Amino acid sequence: MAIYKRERGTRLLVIGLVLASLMTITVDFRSGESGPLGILGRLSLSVISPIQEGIATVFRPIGSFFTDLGRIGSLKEENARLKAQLEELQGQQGQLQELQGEVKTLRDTLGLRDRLGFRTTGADVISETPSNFEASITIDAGSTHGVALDMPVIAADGLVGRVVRVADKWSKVLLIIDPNSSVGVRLAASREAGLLTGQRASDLRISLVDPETPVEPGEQVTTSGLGGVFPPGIPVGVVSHVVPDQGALEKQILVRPGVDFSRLAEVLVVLSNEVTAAPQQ
Amino acid sequence: MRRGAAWAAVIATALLLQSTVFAQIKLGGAKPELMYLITVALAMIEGPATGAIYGFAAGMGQDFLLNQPKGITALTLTLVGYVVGQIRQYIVSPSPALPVALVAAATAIGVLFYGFVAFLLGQLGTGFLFLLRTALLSALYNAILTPLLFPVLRRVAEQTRAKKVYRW
Repeated sequence: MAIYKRERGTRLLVIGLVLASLMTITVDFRSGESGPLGILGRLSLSVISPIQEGIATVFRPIGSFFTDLGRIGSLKEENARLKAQLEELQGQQGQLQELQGEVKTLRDTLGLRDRLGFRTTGADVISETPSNFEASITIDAGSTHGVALDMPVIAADGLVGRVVRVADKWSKVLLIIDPNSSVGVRLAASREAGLLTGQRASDLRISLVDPETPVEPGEQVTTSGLGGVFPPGIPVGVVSHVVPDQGALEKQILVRPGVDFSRLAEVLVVLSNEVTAAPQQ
Repeated sequence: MRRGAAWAAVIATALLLQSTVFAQIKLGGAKPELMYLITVALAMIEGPATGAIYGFAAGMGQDFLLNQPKGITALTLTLVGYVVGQIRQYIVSPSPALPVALVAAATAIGVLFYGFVAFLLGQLGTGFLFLLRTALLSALYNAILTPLLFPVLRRVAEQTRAKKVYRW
């Protein structure tokens, strides 16, 4: 009898916990970031981020060591590829100088201005999401630094992502490699616009491109400015592969991101899309 | 009280390690699921009721402190803790492979369940193949960590067990 009562008590306990979990899921799903759970989430971010920052400073070299160990094989191949690419680029240098002059003339003719930069604030990456289903990072810049929701985040090599959660001194950034991320982009050669989505560890994918558009691997991809979140002209990556598909309604293009997300340490948050510097001569 | 505080400290430590050290040390692109490992270990040592309670607490901790959709991990780990605790009562084996096998199986099934619930809520941005790959790699990662962490957790349980008082 006592054993039966204990079993029944355990079952009731589990049912209670399951109901509590379902209620939490429902409240979070319906109220979103503005609800009580969203507020608790932001408070939690403020509490745990300083601790994460301290631990990450100590353990980052260990993580980098293991990451580099796994990349030794691919590094040799990448080294050979880069050497070959360097030789090719040196040969094209003369042609490039001629093209640069031509581009300058075209720019003057069309009235284009060089974009020198935006108003930004720097931030360090203090942690990466532990989840296997979301690609995001936490940075040490928040509302007190002028950061707000949906602000673009960039690094030296290009676009990183956008701010999706803000606390007073920390923010969460959704990376462009996350499948839930969408960025309006433009192909450099054809100026054709498309929609870039993340595929986690695989290359990024551009969709909604006219199948007749000529695209070659190695072509630069930048943000288009369409959608209003990301200003135009920010480098995103290079075309890595074009999927040949006869009769398709759109072209499938894969893009290798310019940013190495496994080594991201410092980023810039774009506070304003307005050009802050005078055009270069 | 002392036991509860010890397990709470274990869960908090695992949360911090999950979001810092183990966020960078990946196996084939997948990260370990330390909360699953601890929940399964707790359920094996303490039983289904304790497994469910601490699974719920660990899941809520992970969801809130690590900015994930709230409640899904808590639901998953509650069920994992209860089921593993129940199964453990019917398996009598001193084999050291038992915890490894249970952790691996529970992690794989738990991650798949999490993905299924996230999919139902429209919060899963990946396909089924990626989900399956992640579940298997996380299970493998947890299985590798189990021989290192399970003895530590069992030691914590033994050290915090209430001492029997014999009255004459």
